[in-house]
Amino acid sequence: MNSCREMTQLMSQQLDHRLSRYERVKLRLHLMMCKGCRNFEQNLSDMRQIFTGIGTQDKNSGEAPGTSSSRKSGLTND
Amino acid sequence: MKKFPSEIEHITEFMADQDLAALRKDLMWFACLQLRDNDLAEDAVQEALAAALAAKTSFEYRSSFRTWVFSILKNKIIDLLRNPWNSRRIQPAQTELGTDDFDSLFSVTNGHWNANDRPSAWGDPEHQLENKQFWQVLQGCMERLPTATAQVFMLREVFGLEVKEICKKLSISSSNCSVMLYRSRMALRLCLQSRWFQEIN
Repeated sequence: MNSCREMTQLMSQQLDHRLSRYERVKLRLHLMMCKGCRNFEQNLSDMRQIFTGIGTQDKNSGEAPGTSSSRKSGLTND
Repeated sequence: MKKFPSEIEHITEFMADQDLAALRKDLMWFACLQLRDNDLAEDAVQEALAAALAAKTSFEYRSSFRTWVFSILKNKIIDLLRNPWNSRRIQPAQTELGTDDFDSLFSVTNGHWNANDRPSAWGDPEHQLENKQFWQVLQGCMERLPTATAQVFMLREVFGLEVKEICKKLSISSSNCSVMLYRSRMALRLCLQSRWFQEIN
């Protein structure tokens, strides 16, 4: 049965290894008809993008990394 | 805060005290997320900073120094996670996520998403990364993950290790690893959706 639950497992696995052709086709067919799962796939992709960038992003000043404008003041030493 | 060795002073040529404090804060945030132990994180951060500061190479741009310190820290963290002695200092795992934890999202009859739980589109993730509140929500969601699950997820998504390597380092089976990754992604997606993306839409 091509339930959404089963599809979420495939979508997670495809982030780690290549699915079999059968699994890929099954997934694509399901995604054609299921917006929830299409969004889920995109959510996973967004999360991967977020976590890949974690750590190097400057979280304190709200600026993108590499910009040279001054940081906010008021930071204290621990 | 522990003192840095006094011979390391050229850092102030290109990095003011408050910038160093801010960087240290980010490094600590990152290390605590992985190691779940403040002392261990503190040690790792101090060592990474000292190693970077002691280097003779000068850095023209702040961002490249920052990237470099983070890469030193990441290597230290991987070593710590690998070391079985250190894992005893890491908090014992809370109850790991079970198989049934996400069943309630799907209809019992046909396994499709329940209407209320259907994933929605999130918009541009880059945009979120610029928002300080988003980082706090993200941290909260990460902290809700049980320890072993979080570590597997981190090694895969933050450190980019292959599943095979993760299994080897943590001595778990590859199917176990896949299951933990699945559960972590389901939990994080749910958490981010309900605590952030749903709020802003």
